[in-house]
Amino acid sequence: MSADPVAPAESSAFWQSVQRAQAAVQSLYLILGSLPDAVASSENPAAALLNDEAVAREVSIRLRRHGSGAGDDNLCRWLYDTFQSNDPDLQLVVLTFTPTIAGVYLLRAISREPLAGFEAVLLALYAYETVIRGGDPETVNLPNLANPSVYHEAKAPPKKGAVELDIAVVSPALEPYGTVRSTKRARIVGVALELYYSKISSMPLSSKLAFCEFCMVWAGQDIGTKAEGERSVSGPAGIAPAPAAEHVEEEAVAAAVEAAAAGENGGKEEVGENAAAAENGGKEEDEEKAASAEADENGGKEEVGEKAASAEADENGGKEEVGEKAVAENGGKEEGEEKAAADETGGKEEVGEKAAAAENSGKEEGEEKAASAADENSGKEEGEEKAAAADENDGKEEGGEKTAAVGADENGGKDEGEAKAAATAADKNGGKEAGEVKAGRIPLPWELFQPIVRIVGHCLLGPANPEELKTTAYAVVERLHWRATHDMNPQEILATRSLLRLGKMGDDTIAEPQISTNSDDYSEEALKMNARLT
Amino acid sequence: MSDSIHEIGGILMRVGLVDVRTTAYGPGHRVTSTNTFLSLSTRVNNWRKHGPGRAWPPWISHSPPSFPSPPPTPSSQSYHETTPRDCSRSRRDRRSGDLSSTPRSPDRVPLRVPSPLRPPSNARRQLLPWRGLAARSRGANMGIGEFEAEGDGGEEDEMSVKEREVSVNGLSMKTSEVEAKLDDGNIQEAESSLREGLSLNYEEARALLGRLEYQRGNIEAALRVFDGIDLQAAIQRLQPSPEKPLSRRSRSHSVSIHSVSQHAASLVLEAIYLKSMSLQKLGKATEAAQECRSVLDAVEKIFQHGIPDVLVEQKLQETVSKAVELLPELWKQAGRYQEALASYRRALLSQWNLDDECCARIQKRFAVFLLYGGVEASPPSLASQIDGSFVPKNNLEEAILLLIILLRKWYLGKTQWDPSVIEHLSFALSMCGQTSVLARHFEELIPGTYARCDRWYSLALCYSAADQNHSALNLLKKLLKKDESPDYIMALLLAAKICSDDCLFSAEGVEYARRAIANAQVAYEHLKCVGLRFLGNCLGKLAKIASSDHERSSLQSEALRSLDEVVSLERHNPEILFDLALEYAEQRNTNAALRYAKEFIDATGGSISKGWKLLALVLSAQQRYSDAEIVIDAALDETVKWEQGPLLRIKAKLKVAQSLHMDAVEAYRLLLALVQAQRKSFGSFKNIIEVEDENVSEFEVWRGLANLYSGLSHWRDAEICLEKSRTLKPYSASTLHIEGRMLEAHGQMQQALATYGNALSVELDHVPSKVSIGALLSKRGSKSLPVARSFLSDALRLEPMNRLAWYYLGVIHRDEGRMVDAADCFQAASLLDESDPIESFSSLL
Repeated sequence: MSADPVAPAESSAFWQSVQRAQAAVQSLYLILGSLPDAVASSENPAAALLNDEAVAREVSIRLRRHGSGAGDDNLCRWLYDTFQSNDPDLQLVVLTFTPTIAGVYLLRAISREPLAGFEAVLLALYAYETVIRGGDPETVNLPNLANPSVYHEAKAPPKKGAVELDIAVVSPALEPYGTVRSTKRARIVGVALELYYSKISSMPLSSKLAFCEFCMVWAGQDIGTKAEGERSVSGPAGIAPAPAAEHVEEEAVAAAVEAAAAGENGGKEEVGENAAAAENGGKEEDEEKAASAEADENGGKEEVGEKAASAEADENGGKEEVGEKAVAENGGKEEGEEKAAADETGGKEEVGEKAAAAENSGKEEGEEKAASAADENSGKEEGEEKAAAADENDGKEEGGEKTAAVGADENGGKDEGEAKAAATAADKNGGKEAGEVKAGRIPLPWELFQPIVRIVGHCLLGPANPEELKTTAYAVVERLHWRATHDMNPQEILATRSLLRLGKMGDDTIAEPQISTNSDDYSEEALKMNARLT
Repeated sequence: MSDSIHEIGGILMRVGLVDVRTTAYGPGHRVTSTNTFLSLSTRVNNWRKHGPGRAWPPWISHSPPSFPSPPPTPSSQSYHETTPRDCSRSRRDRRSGDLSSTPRSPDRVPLRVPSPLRPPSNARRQLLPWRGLAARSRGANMGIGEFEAEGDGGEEDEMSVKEREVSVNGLSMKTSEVEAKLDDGNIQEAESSLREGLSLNYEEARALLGRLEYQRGNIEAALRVFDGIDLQAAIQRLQPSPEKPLSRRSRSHSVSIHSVSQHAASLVLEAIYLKSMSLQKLGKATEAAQECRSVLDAVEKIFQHGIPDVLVEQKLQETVSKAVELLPELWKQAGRYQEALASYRRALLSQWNLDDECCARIQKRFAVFLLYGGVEASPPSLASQIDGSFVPKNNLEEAILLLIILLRKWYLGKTQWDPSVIEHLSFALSMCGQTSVLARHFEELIPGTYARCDRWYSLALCYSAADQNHSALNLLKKLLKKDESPDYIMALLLAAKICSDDCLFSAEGVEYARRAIANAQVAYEHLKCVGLRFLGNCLGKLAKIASSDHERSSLQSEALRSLDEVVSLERHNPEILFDLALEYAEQRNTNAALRYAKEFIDATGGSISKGWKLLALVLSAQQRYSDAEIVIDAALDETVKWEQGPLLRIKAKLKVAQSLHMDAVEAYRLLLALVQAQRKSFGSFKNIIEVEDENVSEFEVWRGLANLYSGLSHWRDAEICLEKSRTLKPYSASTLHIEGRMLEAHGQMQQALATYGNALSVELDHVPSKVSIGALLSKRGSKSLPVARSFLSDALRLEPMNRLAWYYLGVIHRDEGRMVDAADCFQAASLLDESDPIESFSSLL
């Protein structure tokens, strides 16, 4: 919608919707505590909300925060109410957060935390889609070339009527549900994702990127295969040291390189997974992966005994490296190998986490981890702005507040206007999101897998997608394909394999059209012709 | 003779003089319009056969021979740059045009019209000096631009390589002069010098200048030049006069009108197209799209009835094709997806006379856009539909249609092979679960597209996804033969997986899985787990049909070993936990089974109902019926009404096992209500969809009730239930078995035996009937004991865990005096009795 002058009847409707949007913005302000001016004073609040990155980041941080999504979560209530306002633009705003909600929800649902807030939002999306479809399944009539169509002519027109068409069901009929039963969870989230997909062309980049991140986690850890080059997303920022000093949040204890900080959040909780991965890594290529392996080893050790089961391997692999790598910086530590840099940037979640895990362990256990201890301190002294580190600590200790801290620090970054701020934030998100994960891998039945693949397909091959998204999406497709082969599900293999191959082919954007006089081949062809004929 | 004619034709062409024929021969050689038409159509036919990827035969653009050439007028304009490409192209065009009338191509012979156009061979020399005149007259005639060419044939080529010129009607300018002015930033001057030097009008001069700039890479300068062109005014002038070419007689006239406008149009439209390109390069996609659209609008105005099939100059056509292709891409770049959709449809549904490749490109891009664009397209308008034709109703349908059409075009040899088409199609079809259709398309691919093994593997994937596991397995067997590619690891894994579903194939499955694991250790470490998992499953299956105890136990322990290994490698894969729990349960290690079943439920958050069922069955095997009931109740809570059937059935059986008969009846009643409601509410259509869901059939309910009542000796009720189940399924071994038991209970042994026999003839391997026959015979005295024993052993072969069979076997051994054996059997029976689930574990798969 636009602020163009409109006819009176429309204008009243228009103003109503603006008012609704303003009300929504107002209540969001109450929840978040602050809003960027661009949103607060916008003439078109809904559109401003939709496209404002700062708000999106803030909201998604809160959604990912530990303990979010409970029945008394104000933010979830806001999302629910906003969606129920039936204002299309506001609904789009809510849909922006579908990936985060679905992502956090699915990862936590397994542990049976109270997630009534998330469920309410998801059910609202589901109910909306149910009403739109009228309970009918989504079907596709498979075209048959024996019938003529708008795009082609049949050889012999059918004698009478059309040849029977096969009917395929894309999405089965929907029953209205009042609660989320666990066996229907995948379906409800799947339908919410289908709704998201239907509006995906209006979704901002950050939302799609968030979706890709969650897909990586859902699919599970890729063991034995590489993590190479998967994430070039926030590459450079990953290794760049945090530039400016910033005021440290209340619980802020230490600071560190962002990548590490982000990783900390991640690594802390995700050790099991990392460990598994690292274990293989360690096994396979001790030297190369030593940095990360070491990280996990620490992680495994530090974290939980029960999860460490698989970490032994890397422990062996990684330990000897540690001593030498007493670098004052996590980044440095990790980078003991030149490869680490690439790793770190690449596997935002994975490597970052691992490094962080190492740091944590150092902190907590005060073990031989001189390296990590060292950087912690250094970070502390420098008083770097890395509030992320703060939240990591605090998250570690309380399991709670870390996201807030991250948010703060993100804001900090923004204020500074550092070019890196965005990337930093992204990094953090990556790490943090992984951080929420206990066991990342979730069951992906077809009803969930299908909408996921469709969305990822859009991210990979949709029109006018930025390179960043494509790279990420390609990594996701790789991961999903890996998952499909692991489950040996033929249908999933077919779908992801196609996407994988298409991703490799690169897009066929329009070839640089030549101007007519620019065709050498013609002349050569003509000459050949000449030669042949005369 | 024919050779010399041919040679002349060749020379004529080389000099670019073919359409001078008219001039050279003058009005004296007029051809009737019929004749012209005939020869034209001959050429068209030929061109269609041999034609290169070109919109249409280039000779068509030349004026028909019947049109007398007016004297040259200096005011008429024509322009072209003399570049080698231009001239060589035009030469080739003519060549290919002339090709159709050379006597060498045999298929054209019957249609060939003796052409009065061809000059006698001795005219060749004389022709050359006329060339300049000819070019001029042509210019006057139709406004066509021709380049200035020196000398003949080959020389001309080299000349023009050296120097680029702009030439009109014999007037020519070196482009360098113009460019120099442009470089000075003086557009006006450059323009006016062009206009003076070449007598062009304003727009044309601008167009020419702009193209110069564009070619030199001065995008912004080009844009400034192009900005001065008023397209609307130009179109006004170019629009055809209202008269329409209706009759063949008027044809020649209208053709000339078209030609006149075409050549002028060509230049202006190309200019606008280049303007659009410049804008696009400067990042102004929206404006670029608008300019590009205006090209198409203009074309539509000029050719109000679609671009005629044979009457367009090639250069104009080129511009049009490019603009058509470019427009949707520009809209996409601008983020205006609805416009992009509309322009794709416009490109494909209007008459642009695109060549096959171009059309295929557009179709593919459109399909891609529909598939991944995330923009819901409204169905194409009704205007363009024929009766009975297929109208896609949503994106997927339209995309699939386009992709199938593309494939067909390729089969017909109209387009090049594009591997992405089949990939897009397999994505689209697997999204809607129609992999059997996809398999058909893989089968249709022309041999050589894919390596044989790859195709087989793809086919196997399709069939397996469509539940045609046998076809899939057959393909995989072929694929994995020694002389094909025995180490194709994905195929090995798929084969192992398919085999693990069926006892009969499990031996093969073990082999495939082992090969997969061996290969995995080389290159695909991460697939090892998958291989191990299927190895475990296959071994477990194999153990079931093992012929000896020893073999069975060794297989079972091996199965457990490989599953355990997977668990240690992959803790986070819940599927493994389930497999392991099931394997333990099958081996009656209920404690381990219980642990893993719980872990599975934790790992999946209870979202997979087979986990709940397994847990309940394991509990029931431990005789912890009330715990099992709690589990089932929890599962019922997590399950929506329609899918509660299997859980209710288990619940009913649990009640029976606890001897809570009234509760059991109640549970069955609920189940029955559910089943009947399902039958009513699901129309035939939905039924098809739900078919794959493991729903309890009504038959099963009645059978269960019959079982229950007969156990309670409520014969009348049991009889009613049996009757109901018989009407649903007239020939069923299990119904007959219950019937036999009732007869047995009534003391009608002979009839009971006969009924059991019937049950066995309905289902050869019906274990309960075998056991009942064995039991019945064992009571008949010593003579029938051996027969009874063989029935029971047979039952045990099929179902080693059948406790009743062990019991009756024990009875027989006892009666025959083999006490040790009897004791063993009774012990087995009692052990099994303590670990017997209320439903077989294999019902979970």
